[in-house]
Amino acid sequence: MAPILEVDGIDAGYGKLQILFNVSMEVEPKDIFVIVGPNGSGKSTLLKTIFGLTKIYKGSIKFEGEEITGKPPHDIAKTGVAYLPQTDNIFAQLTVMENLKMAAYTLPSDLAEERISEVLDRFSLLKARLKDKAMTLSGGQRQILAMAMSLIRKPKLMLFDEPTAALAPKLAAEILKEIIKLRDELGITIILVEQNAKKALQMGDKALLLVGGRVMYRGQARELLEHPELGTLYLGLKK
Amino acid sequence: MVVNVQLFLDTMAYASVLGLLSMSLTLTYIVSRVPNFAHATFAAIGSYMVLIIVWIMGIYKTGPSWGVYYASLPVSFLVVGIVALIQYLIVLRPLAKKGISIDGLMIATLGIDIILVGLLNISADFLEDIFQRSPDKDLRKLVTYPRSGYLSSYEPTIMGITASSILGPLLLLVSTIGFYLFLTRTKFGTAMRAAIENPQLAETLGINVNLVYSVSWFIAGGLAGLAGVVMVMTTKLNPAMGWILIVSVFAGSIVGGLGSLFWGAIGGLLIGFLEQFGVYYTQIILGALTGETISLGNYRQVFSLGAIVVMLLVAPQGLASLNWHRILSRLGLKRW
Amino acid sequence: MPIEIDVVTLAQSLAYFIAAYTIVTLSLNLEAGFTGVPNFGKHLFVAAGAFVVASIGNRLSAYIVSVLYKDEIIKLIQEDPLLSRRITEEDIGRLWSMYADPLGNRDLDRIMDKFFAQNPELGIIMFMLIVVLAVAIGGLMGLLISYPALRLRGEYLAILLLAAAEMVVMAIGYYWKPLVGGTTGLFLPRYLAVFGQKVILGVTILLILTALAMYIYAQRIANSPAGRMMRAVRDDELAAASLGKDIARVRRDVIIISSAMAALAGALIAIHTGSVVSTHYQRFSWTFIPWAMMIVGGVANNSGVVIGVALVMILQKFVDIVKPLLAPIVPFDPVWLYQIGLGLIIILMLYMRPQGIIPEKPSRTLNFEEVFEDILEDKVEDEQAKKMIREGRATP
Ligand SMILES: Nc1ncnc2c1ncn2[C@@H]1O[C@H](COP(=O)(O)OP(=O)(O)OP(=O)(O)O)[C@@H](O)[C@H]1O
Ligand SMILES: [Mg+2]
Repeated sequence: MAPILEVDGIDAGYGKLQILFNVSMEVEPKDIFVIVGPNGSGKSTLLKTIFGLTKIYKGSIKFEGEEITGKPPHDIAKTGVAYLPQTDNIFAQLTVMENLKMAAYTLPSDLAEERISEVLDRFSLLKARLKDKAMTLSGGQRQILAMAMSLIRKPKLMLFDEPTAALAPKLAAEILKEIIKLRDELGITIILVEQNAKKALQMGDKALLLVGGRVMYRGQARELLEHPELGTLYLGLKK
Repeated sequence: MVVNVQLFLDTMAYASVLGLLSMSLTLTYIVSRVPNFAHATFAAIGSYMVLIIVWIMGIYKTGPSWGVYYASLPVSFLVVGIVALIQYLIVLRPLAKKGISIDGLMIATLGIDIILVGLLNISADFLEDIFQRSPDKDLRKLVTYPRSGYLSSYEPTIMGITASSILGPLLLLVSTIGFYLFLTRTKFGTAMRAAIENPQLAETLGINVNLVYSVSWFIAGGLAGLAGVVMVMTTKLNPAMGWILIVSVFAGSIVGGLGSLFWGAIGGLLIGFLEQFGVYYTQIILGALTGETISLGNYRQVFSLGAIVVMLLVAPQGLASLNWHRILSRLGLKRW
Repeated sequence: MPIEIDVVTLAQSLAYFIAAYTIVTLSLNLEAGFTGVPNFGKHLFVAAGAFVVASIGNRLSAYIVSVLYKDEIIKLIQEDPLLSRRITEEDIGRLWSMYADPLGNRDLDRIMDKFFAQNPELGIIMFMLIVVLAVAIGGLMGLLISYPALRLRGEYLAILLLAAAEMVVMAIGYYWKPLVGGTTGLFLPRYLAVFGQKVILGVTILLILTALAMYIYAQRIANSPAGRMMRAVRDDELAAASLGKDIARVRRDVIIISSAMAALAGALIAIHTGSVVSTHYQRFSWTFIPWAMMIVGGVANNSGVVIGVALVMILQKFVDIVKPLLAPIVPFDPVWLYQIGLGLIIILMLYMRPQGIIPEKPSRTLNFEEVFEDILEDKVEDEQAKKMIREGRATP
């Protein structure tokens, strides 16, 4: 099958500050593609680059065979990519319902209502909180809200940046379970950046190890998990 | 004499002007993160619209008329709204996009203020010229108005009360409530709050952040224009009338905390009352002490400056940041 | 219509304006360019110098003169038919208080002018005394604003300073007559009678010398370790936090000195003009134009500032010259076009060349390590100790 996302020899960064060096990757449809690496290695930057939020100096990015390099984020969003940033991924001052409405901003109103009720059925815990300001939600509930917001537009590819950061282990596991369900039930392709390399590699299909903005490993997630050196060297995995 | 009804009525007009201005200044600050030093001159433009209406509609001949308000309010809203929009679109937004520092943006707004006052001066010269050459005797009487006119003689009264004392608070009330409903009940208003809180996320959701910000600037300018219409009924017309007024407007916004429109309006109102009654009681006290009649009306900004200083020292985030639940329950005012 | 230009007068007036604005703009640049204090109330400090000269200086010199040289003054008044008609002998005791009203101011001025013409050396002493007073009060005001300046965010500080300036100048200066005679203004005695008819030239030269001294001072600050530290602090919050108290002291000193400098300029401007009118110390003239000059020339760059000052002043003189040509054509005062043009120039400059004509030299903006080295060199004598600090084994 043709890859849904092709990243080819990308150099990217912020202004003049280059962070990524010659990064390439291919993501197959309906895969969970895991990106791991030490702090500051450029994982978030790679996701932002795919979503058009950084400056690209060289290389190309194709989504479903179409060039999206250099397009602005809202155009990329329209092609079916959703990005959930590490922080500030909801409007804290707005109510839960208003957040969902904003996520459906570009849809016609009847469709918007339909989609909102769909995601509310999926994440029913939000139903009780519709009138509350989003800042009153717990960390896990916020992640769920952010997920719900991106689902409203029925994306084909979702980019998750550390969705479990700062969550208790049990909650983190639940969030990851939800992500797997998105793939299994809705057939959405997932790119996942995770601190907890072990958990992520266990649930992932393919994986990429980023060190200092360069690709150190690319291949099966399982292989990286069992790699004799890379895991201990960069990911703090025990042998 | 503890309460003075006439003073209270005058203050209502002036304080609502400040309420409108502090609220709309706060709006531009929330959107663009730069204090707009031209904001009080926005109001001055609105004031000049009243003079132009008085001239064009022939009100100078007929005397006091509601037409002053019917015509001036929408015209001022529109004209000043467009001025504000231009300032945002062709000055502040391009500069901010280029990464100009906040100092640079502030000096740019100061530059706009200078330009606007320059344009008002040119208009004043023009108007003087037109009035002076007019064959119409009544119009010739207006010749001093562009630089020092009291337009309150053209506003109607309601049961002996000047219209501005009633209209000012009404305008403030209607715009505050209207704005509140707009922000909370409409999709675009919600998008406005969303775009202000997190422009990047809003952008990725397909909200046209630039449109939202442009509309905010237009509305802010429009409200300043409305304020200008009421303002000219309480003070003398002059191209540089905004230069001293800006002190009071900033005071109101800072008292409100520069973060919430509602508190901006409250801050402006409070400053209006503080200035007027502060002056009034100081006059009485000093008069009693010295045995002379003392007039301090020209120094009312002293109270505003005092409010800025105290506020920045005590609660730099403004009244909005105070824990009102606790304060009210401490005072025994809140038992539920 | 041909325009006649008196080259000498033009050159002299240009030199005067350039010198005065150089002092004010250099002082603004020290604050805003180097230490990052956005002083939007610069006109307050220039006005302060002028107001001190007019209100305190006038009264002080009248008082001193009428007490110490009472007989001479009485004689002066008796010899003058105009004065002897209006001023009685008992007025002499309260001469200094006559400055409050315009008529008294004129009479007193006449007396003082005559007196200083007869005693030029006393004029010089009074002049120096008053200028020192103006500088001291300017410095004190600097100390006063350094308190909020080191604590408030830039926007709030800008608002506070602008509000304070407008309040003092446009409310108190305009309406409280005892200060400087309100919008009608006050005349000053001709302290510098030594210069004879060439007072204006003399004061202009004084201003030029002051501007030179100010330039040298600003250059020294810019190139000193303290100056480099300040720029590092301006650009880097982290550095600011870790340098803490040391830097706060330096910044406070700079604010005091620049405020004193602006007041000095204000005092000299007043003496040059021979009168003080509060409307001459507005935001446009002494806050906006200095900012415009700084941005045109180059922020945090002293030679850039001088170029900016010269360019804007030449533009102003040019407008002055073409004004009579334009006046009959347009139905308004062409001076507004100059204001509007200056506003546009600022905005265009920010857009097209925010670094100014002469940018701040990038090699001079140091990174934290270099600043750290500077401090080490400055503060620690012993080589061994320096080494230990560098390696992190000891703290300074
Ligand atoms: N907006 C930005 N502007 C400039 N530099 C940035 C920006 N965001 C990140 N960087 C820099 O880019 C580098 C990579 O950051 P990035 O956030 O991509 O790392 P990461 O792998 O996601 O780290 P973490 O695991 O801590 O989230 C870092 O050195 C960081 O300082
Ligand atoms: Mg990251």
